[in-house]
Order: sequence, then C-alpha cells, then structure tokens
Amino acid sequence: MASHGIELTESDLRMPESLRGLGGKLMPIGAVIAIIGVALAFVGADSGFKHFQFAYLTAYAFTMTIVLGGLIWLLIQHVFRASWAVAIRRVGESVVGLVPLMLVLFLPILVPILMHDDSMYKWLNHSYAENDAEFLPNKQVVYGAYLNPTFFFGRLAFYFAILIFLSRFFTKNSVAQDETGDLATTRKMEKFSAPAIPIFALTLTFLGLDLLMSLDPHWFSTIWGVYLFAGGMMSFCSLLALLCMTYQKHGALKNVVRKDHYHDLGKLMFAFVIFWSYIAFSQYILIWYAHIPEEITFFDKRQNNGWEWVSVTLIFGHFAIPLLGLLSKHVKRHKPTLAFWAVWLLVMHLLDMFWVVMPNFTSGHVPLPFATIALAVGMLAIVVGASIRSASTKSIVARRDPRLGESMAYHNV
Amino acid sequence: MDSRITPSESDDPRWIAQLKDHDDNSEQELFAVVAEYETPDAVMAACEKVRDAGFRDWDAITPFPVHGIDEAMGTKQSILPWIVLGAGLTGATVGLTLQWWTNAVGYPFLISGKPMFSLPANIPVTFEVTVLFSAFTAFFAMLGLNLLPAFYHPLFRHPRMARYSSDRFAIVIEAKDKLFDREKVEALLKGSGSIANEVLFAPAKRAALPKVFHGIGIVATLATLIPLAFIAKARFTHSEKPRIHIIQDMDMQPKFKTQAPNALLAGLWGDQRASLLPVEGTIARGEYVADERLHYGQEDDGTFVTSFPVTVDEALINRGQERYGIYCSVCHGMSGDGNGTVNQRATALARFGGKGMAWAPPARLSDERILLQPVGELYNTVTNGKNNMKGYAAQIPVEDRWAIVAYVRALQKAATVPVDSLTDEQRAELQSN
Amino acid sequence: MSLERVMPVGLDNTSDDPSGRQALIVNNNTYESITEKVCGVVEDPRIDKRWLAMFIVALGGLGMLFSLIVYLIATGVGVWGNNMPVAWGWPIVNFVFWVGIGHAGTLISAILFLLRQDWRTSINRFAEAMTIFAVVCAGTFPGIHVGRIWLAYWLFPIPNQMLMWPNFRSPLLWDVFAVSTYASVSTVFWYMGMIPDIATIRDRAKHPLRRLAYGVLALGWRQNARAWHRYEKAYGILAGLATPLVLSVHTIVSFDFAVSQLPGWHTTIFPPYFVAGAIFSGFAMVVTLAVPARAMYGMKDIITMRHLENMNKVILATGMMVGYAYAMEFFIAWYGGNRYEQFAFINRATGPYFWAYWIMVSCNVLSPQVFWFKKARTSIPIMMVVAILVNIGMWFERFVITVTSLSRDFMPSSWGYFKPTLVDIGMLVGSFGLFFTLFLLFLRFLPMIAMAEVKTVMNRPKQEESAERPEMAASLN
Repeated sequence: MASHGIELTESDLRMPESLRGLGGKLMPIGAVIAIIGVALAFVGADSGFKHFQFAYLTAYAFTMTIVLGGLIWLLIQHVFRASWAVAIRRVGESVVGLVPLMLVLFLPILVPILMHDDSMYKWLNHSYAENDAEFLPNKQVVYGAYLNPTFFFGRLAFYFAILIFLSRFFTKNSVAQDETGDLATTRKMEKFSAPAIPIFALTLTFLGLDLLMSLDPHWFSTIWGVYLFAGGMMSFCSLLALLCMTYQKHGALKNVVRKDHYHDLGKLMFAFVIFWSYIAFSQYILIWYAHIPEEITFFDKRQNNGWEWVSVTLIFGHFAIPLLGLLSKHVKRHKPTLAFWAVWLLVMHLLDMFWVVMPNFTSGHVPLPFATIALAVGMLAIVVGASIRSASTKSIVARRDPRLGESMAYHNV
Repeated sequence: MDSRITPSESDDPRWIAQLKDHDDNSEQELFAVVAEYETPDAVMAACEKVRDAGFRDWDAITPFPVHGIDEAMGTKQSILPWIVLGAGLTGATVGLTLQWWTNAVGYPFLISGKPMFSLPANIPVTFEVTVLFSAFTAFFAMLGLNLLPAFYHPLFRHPRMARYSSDRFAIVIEAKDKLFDREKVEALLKGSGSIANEVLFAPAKRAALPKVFHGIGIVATLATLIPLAFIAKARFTHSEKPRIHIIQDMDMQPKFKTQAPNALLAGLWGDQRASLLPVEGTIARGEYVADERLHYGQEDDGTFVTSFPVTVDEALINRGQERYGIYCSVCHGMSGDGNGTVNQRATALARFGGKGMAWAPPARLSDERILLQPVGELYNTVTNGKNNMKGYAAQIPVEDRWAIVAYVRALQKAATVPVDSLTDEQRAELQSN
Repeated sequence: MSLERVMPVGLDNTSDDPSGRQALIVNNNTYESITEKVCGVVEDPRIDKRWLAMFIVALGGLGMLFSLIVYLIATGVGVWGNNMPVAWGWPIVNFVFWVGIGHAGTLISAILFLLRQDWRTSINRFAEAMTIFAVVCAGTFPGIHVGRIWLAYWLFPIPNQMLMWPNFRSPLLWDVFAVSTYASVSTVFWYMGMIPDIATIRDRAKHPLRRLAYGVLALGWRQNARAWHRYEKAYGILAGLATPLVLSVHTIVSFDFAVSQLPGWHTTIFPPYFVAGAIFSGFAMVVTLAVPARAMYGMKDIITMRHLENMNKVILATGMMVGYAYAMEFFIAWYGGNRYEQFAFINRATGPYFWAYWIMVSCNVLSPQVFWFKKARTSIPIMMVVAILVNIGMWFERFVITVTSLSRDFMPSSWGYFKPTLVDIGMLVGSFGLFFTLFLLFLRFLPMIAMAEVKTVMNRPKQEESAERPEMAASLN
C-alpha cells in the first residue's frame, strides 16, 4: 500500500466512539423489539405459540441467509483474489463472524423441537409417516433414514460445526494478518477458500432443505439451495452497503471507502436481484408448466387465499421495480439512493422468507405480519449491533492486506 | 512539414491508379494538422491542452481505448444508453404483443390446458426479443453516432495511419474548426510533447466512382427486390392448385387406391378389384345382431321400445351409475342437470371471447322432452348421438348402454320427486349429505 | 480499470504471490510487437502446411455432413436411429452438445468483462468465434430434425397461407427465439469487437484488394477517441445484455426437457445446471483449441500459462457445479419418494445405459478434480487430456438425459433401446468438420487475438524510455 502513497492513520483504523456506542445500544434495542414481536404473536387472530414459532423461523431464516450470504461473499472474494472489496472486507467479516450468535438465536426453534413439539416439522411425529404409507410407499424409507429426529439433530450440529469453522477460519486469519502482515496468510485463505465453497454450498443446501423445504414434507425442489443462496447474497450486499454508510456517517472509513465500492456493491445487488428472479422464475415455470400434483401444492398454496397478493408483490418488489431502480450508474454511486434500495431489498428478502415459511402456518389466509416484522427487525438489530461490537475490538480495515492499496485506488467507471 | 499524398503504388489495378491520379492532381485543400505521440500518457497530457484551448473539431487517434482520455478531451457522455433503453422497452412490448395477438386473438387454440394468453410461458420469448432489439440497437446506434460506415476519410491516406492503428498516438485538429489557425495550432501541438507535427491535405474534389459501380449497385438492389416481389405476389393472389411438394413421398405411395384395378389379382383370381371382397358369410366386427330390440332399441315396425329388453336390477343400475360417471357426466353433470365440467369450461371460454365460438349446452336429463321419451329412444341417443352429442356405440358395449339408460331413468325419477312426498327420515338423510 | 502490473515481466506468470499482480502479457512485448504477431498470421502470404492438412481433413468432414444431410432429406428421418419411444435421439443430443460449447465465448466476453477479469482479452476473440461456429453446428441439428425441412419456416411467426401462428406456449418455440437471438447477438458482439482490429489490418494492407476487403469490413473505423467512447459504451451494454442472454439460452434449452412430466427431465435445477454444464464444456473446448493454436502461431506470450490456468480453474469450478446438480437430482429423487423418479435415476446408473452414465460422471466430475493441483493446471498434456475428456463427458451427459429417460416409458410395454445408425455417427463426426472448417478459416483470415483489448491490459510504456526515432522524419515528405 505504500507503493500507492495512501497512508492510513491510526484513526482510520479505529472505530469511532459514537459508532461503538451505537453498537452497544442496538443489541438491547433489538432484544426489546424482538420481545414485542413475541408478544404480538400471542395477540390477535392466529395468536398462539405456533404463530410465534413460524414467525420466529421466518425472522431466523431472514437473518441466517444474510449471514450465510456474507460467508459465501467472503469466500468468493478470496477465491477470485479480488482486490476491490479489501477495503470493506473487515466490515463484512464482522457480520460473517456471527455464526456462533446465530446458533444461540437458533435455540428458540430448537428447544421446542427437542421437547417433541411437531407443530412446525410435522414429520417429527411418527404418525405422520404412517399416514403416508398408502400414497407414498417409497417415502417411508426417507422418513426412516433421513427425516427423523435423531438424524435431524445430528445434521444440524454438523452444519453449525462446519459453518462456525469456516467463519472463524476466515475472520481469524484476516485479523491475524493485521499484526503479522504475513503474505502467507493471504495465500492460505485463498487456497482454502476454493474447497470451502463446495463444502459451504452443500451445507447451505441441506440446511435450507431441513429447515425450510421440509416444512412441507411432501414438496421438493432441486433448485432450493440456489434459491436461498441468491436471496442471501442480494441481502448481504444490501446490508454491507448500509453498514459501510453507517460507519462513514460516524466518521469511520472516511478515506477508505469510496463511491467505487458502493458502485460495486450496487452492481452486486442489481446482479443478484436478477439472479434471484431468474432462479425463482425457473422454479415457478417448471412447476407451473408440468403441473404435477405433488409439486404444484407449493404454488397452489401461494396463489390462493390472499397469498396471491404476496406473490405479486414479490414479482414487482423483488424483481421489476428494483431492476429498473438499480439500473442507473448514478443510483449506485449515490449514497442516499443506494441506501433506499438496500433497505428496499432487505424488506423484500423478509417478504420472500415470509412467503416461503408462513403458508405452512396458515395456508387459508395471510396472517398478520407484525409479529414476524418485529422479530425480524429485532433480530437484525441484534446482529448489526453484535457485528459493530465485534468490529470495535480490532482494526476496522484489513490494514496489512497486500491488496488494500489496489482496493483504495481502483476506478470503476 | 507538409504531407502530400504519396504517389500511387505500382501494383494497383489500372482503375484504382486512375482514381488516385485524379485525386493527386486535383486541387488540394488543408484538412488538418496531425501531431504524433509515443505514449498514452503523452497524448492524454496533450489532449488536456487542446481541450483547454477551446477547439471543437478535433480528435485523438489511439490504437486502443485509452482509459481516462474522455476526461482529458472533455468528451460528453454519450446518449447511447438511453437509445438502447428505448429499444429494449420497444422489444419487450413487441415480444409480448406478438405472443398475445397470435395465440390469444389471431389464432387461439387450446394447448396443454394453458390459458390462451399465459404470461409465464410468454416470458422467455419476450426476454429474447428485448435483448435482440437492444443489442442490435446498441451496435447500429454506436455506428450511427460515430457516422459510420464511412469508406473515405482523408486520414486513410495518411502514411502514418498504420502506426496509429498499432502503437502510436495522434491528435488531429481539423481545419474546419472555428478557432483553426494553422500557425497557432502547429505551435500549440509542438508545445504539447508531440514527436512530430504535420499538415494533412486532401483533394478538394474527389474523383467520381467509375460508372460500372453504379450499374452493379442498381442491379444488386433490384436483385434483392425479386424475392420480395415474389412473396408480395404470392400474398395477394389466390390459387386453386395444390401446394408444390418438393419431396413427393406422400403423394406417390406404393399402394393401391380403393377402387383401382390390380392386374396381378386379375391374373390370379380373375377379379381385378384391388380391394378384395370379404369371404362369403363373413360378419364384420360389430355387425352381428342377435336381437333387434336389444341392439337397436326398436320394435320390428321401427318404433322405439318402451320396456327394457334386459333385466333391470340393482346391479344394473349400479353399473349404469358407474358408466354414466365415466362417459356422460362430463357433459350432462353427475346429477344430469346438464352442467358437467365440459359445459362449465366451454361456457367460460365462450364468455372469455374465443373467436367465433358458439356453445350449445348439453341437455338437462329431467327436461319434460326427455322424460317423455321411451327407453328405446334414450338407448338410441346413447348409441347414435344427437345434435352436438356423438354416438357412443364404439366405446360402450350394448349391455352397458342399457345400464346407462336405466340409471338415467333413476336420475329422472330423483329429479322429479316432489319434496312433499318424502318422509321426514328421507329429508333428514338428504340434508345430512 | 486496469491496474499497473507491478510484478516482473517474466515467462512464468502463474505465481500466486499476493504482493502484486502478474503480467498478463509476458516476454517484453510492446504494442508494436503485438500488432506484428497478430496481423502477421493474417498477412503471411504462404500457406502453412499443417493448416492446409487440417483444413483438408475438416473439409472432408464437412463434405460428409452435407452428403448425409442430402441423403437424409431425400430419404427421410428413418435413416437415423430415432424411433419410438426415443424420438429425440442423437440429433438433439448433438444440438444440446454444440449449443453448450457455444457458451464459453460470450461468457468470456461478457461475464468476465463485467467481473473485470482482464485475462479475458487474450482469449475472448477466438472463444467468441468458437461460439458462433458451435452455434452454427447446433442450429443444423434441430433444422434437419423437423423432418420436412422445407417447411422449417413454420417455426417463425411469419404470416402464412394457412392463417396459422406458431404456439408460443411451447418451449421448442422459445428455443427457436433463444438460439437465433443468441446466434445473431453473438455475431454482432464478435464483429463489433473485431472492427478496430480489422481496421488495423486495413491500414497495414499493401495489396488494394486486401485493403478493399478489410476496408469494407472495418466500416471506416479510424481509431479516434470520440468513436472509442461510444464504442466502449456500446460494448459495455452488449456485455450487460449478453450475460443474461447466455444464461437464458441454455436455460431455455433445459426447459425443452424440464417442462415435461418425464422422470429424469422434470426437475427444477435444470436451468442453472444446464448453464453451468454449458460453460463447463465451452471452456473445455476453448482449452482444446487454444493450446494447439497458441503453439502453432507463436502466441505463447499472449495466451500465457496464466490464461490456461485460469480456464482450468473455471473448468474445475463449473465441473463441481455440474457434480452438485447430479448429486441433487439423485438425492431429491430419493427424498421426494416418487417411485418413477427414483426408478429413472437408478435406471440411469444401473440400467442398460449404465456405461453412458458412468462415462459422464467420471469425465465430468472426476477428471477435473486433478485441477485442484497447480502442477496439473499448468501442465499442457494433462489439461489437454482433461479438456478432451470433459468434451466427451458433456456429450454423454446430454445422451444420458435424452436417451435414458425416453427409453423407459411409464409402461414397460413401451420400453425400447436406442441404437445410433451409421448416419447418426457420420453426422456427429461431420459436424466437427463444419466446426473446424469455419474455425480454421477464421484463424487464417481474421485477427485471432483482440489486439486493441490486449493493449489495454499491458503496462503503459513510460515517456522517458523512448527516444525520437529517425525513421519518423524519413517517412514524411
């Protein structure tokens, strides 16, 4: 970085006090909002523990896909030896490192299941499989070998072990380089990122299958993992842009993060809006066209009883409107406009998860979304607060990464 | 230094040499001052100077797009993206309209149960047409904005052009610029880090293209019109003749037509009919009739039978109910009210506006007209069809047709029972269903 | 956009040293030497004997293809092995195979351009050429598969004497639009990229006929900066359009299969899986062509080991994606509990076509695994073997998909076993003749490297290094 003549001062590397304070405040605020969400689940038409469970799963899927989107984003940066994002990588890493927190947040889902609650995952109940014996004789083996409580918990433990290992490996090594400046660390991360990607891909796929697809044990779709990946990447890039703006608003990263970085994040958001739409459309048209009973149930639920309006909102809000909105270079290079679309896309991602999870709760009508919204906002606030807090203990820029100079100097137009 | 056009090379064909001679010998006028640079950085620095001097009709020549030169030259952002956006929207509209009109209006036909205008299925083609329009527009608009193609330009005759196309850089300030003053321009460029300056002249009046080229052009243009003329003629003329078959496999099949003679058979059996007569006493499938009443539902005098020629018992009615459900209910409805699924769909389609679509609803089986028909007539309708309904003799065996008739009688009875005649128990049972 | 390459310009540019960027063009090449090298191939008046030998062989294949097409048209599609239940036999396998290969070119041009992968510049030109020729080969097969090919115009929405219109709800019609759009947009993209280079050849041409021919093709391009500005805008837009286009084309090809209800065809991962497979086979074909071409025409400084290594990495990555799709199909077939779906996949692996399935798996999933090792990625013999294996494996993938699913209908009474005829095999071989005829002509007559683009990723020469040259003055006046 010396060769480019941009010297970072100590103040560029440390998190400003005001931001640190914000991080500390966000976690309790998030917890309060989440508790309000829990309370809301017990009020109104569909009130009850089951509503809480589904709303919580929606919020969890929303947050978890963002964190996992961050992990794959980080792996891709390393495997491409990309330089552009080095300047904002540490901000991203602070989110990626939160996989252990996500395990804690998973407990409200896990504990009831451990206590033999089968209101979400119906197949946890043995009698569910027996009811299937007549119509789906070949599914019996699946219930025996795969969709059973023991293996389910074993798998979950395995997924979290892998994800925690991957997130720790890449965040720890990156921080270690701040001290040593060792080029071998960069090479080590680049080397390991390549096999980490297929490992991550399989983990995400099966985690998505177990947590979301198996809510309807009869339905299946081979594209499911790719669908979750697309939404997660899009939302993580949105969150990263918002986080960078927050940092800059508090005076951090002033000389480090430039319009070009926002432009590139905007491009990724735009690209993944299209990619998500492509995957969602592919899944829809194949199932719609073939119209096979066991598959069409998924869309049948989501095209009737008020759910059709959620679906239509997704088509416009998750595809058509942001497609046009993010098209222009000026929108992506301009902080307020990009912030608008980043928030928009996060909202749409939440709606997407709502659309995925909630029809399994009440397919007859669309439940009131307030509990879900409060839980999701609360959980996201906790995650953002935790990420700021974890970033506050170290340099907020990967300051001795050999490509930092390139990242601070490249031009995007 | 003045750069005059170099003399023509000797291996040129005669007509090219003549054109060149004409250009070389005609009056020359000042076209531009050209300065040459060795590196991209040098030409960029010079561009900033020329830009600041306020020239408008000038350009840099670089063998590849040099990053940053747009700012150095003060080039305005091109409007190309907006043109392409317009083309893309046009393409999307054209793609969608084409599919809507052809499949839902111009030639509506039902396929695999999809709606006539089915948006999900129309998205791929809409997308492709959008890309097609946008991509071609991007290319042609780029050419158009650059005033290309242009097959003549004074610079093409510049001896250093091969270098500007390969590894050197140049700035060209044209004489038509309002601020152009040869000495000042030369001084400006000399002071801009150029390694050489030169003044480029071009013939004031270029040689005319030989006449033969006009001829070739006209003939070629006319030739391209010939296929179009044929298509236009075909479009507006009517012909009774069959279409031309290039491969006539279907027209010339190695078989005998029905009434044609066959010489070979004539030699063998003395009967030259290609279609042999059946062996005497043969009964074709379905032509065996043991009992007129049973098979035709008619008495000897042609009137319809009024009693069943088969034994009517519960088994028969149950059989009839099942067969009715399979063959009849799709139109007549499970209860015989004439509102089966086919009727519902057809009514909906007719309302949707299928062009020229008329739909006569199936009969309600409890209509008085049908109540009064003897069983033989009902049987006859099942067998041979009536109005829109086709005959079911091919699908339903004789006994089953009678079973259906029996079941139709049961339906009629059920539909015409007065409510008062039911016992309380019967009412309760009906209401509970 | 391009950064200064700070690493020393040596012959080996495959180092992983993260302290700088490796040079993409090695061996102290200058702008001028690049021009000389690339134009030299086109301007050489002699005919290379190796080129001629290959061209004659390719022409032989092309001749065979044309004769077989004539035979097919005159006799009927019965000359193929296609018969119920396998109505889509080799011709469709060949179609999907060639269309897949036709993806790498536009991918390298468009997606790598958007991802700012500078190394694309050395290989994009002939990858694009390869794309177009592969699409020509691909288009041939559905064209002759329609049976009465003189009625093939019914595929297009042209007002006709029957007052009938094509069925836009059919994926086969989407295919017509996708492939023809792809072919024409790829051609525009390729041609537009070539205009500046053709202009260079024009400016260097001595013979007037050469000048005329390349002059017409160059459309009067003068390398001027204001034109470059619009050109780069248009190029960026075309890249932005071509990227979803590449995805859409093979997606729509996958729809041909996946909208059906046939076990083994109907699965939602088909669209991205087909796209990954297409890129996979396309890159394998680029490696197969680039390795001999760079040796034959002395382009090793421009298409360096780093370029080949990068392509091998892409092959590994896309090979893994294809492997992921195979695994997901198998797993979900089991998980879904649909007995027909389960049978279809078990039948693939153990049924009468088990050999095709295992050729596919070993070529596509196992063979690229050697690319985890840098030694293999930078070894010319190994990469040639793997690239060819991948080409074979991807042909078999399409064979497995098309034939195994069709040959086992829902009712055992309509099962069958597809066998290709000699005409089938001859047409596949002949399509390679068509492909190589076009490709060899391209190598000989058009600039095979995007000179102007390569120059943008070279280190800029410094002003002080160059002194004024005496020849300059001599050439003037």
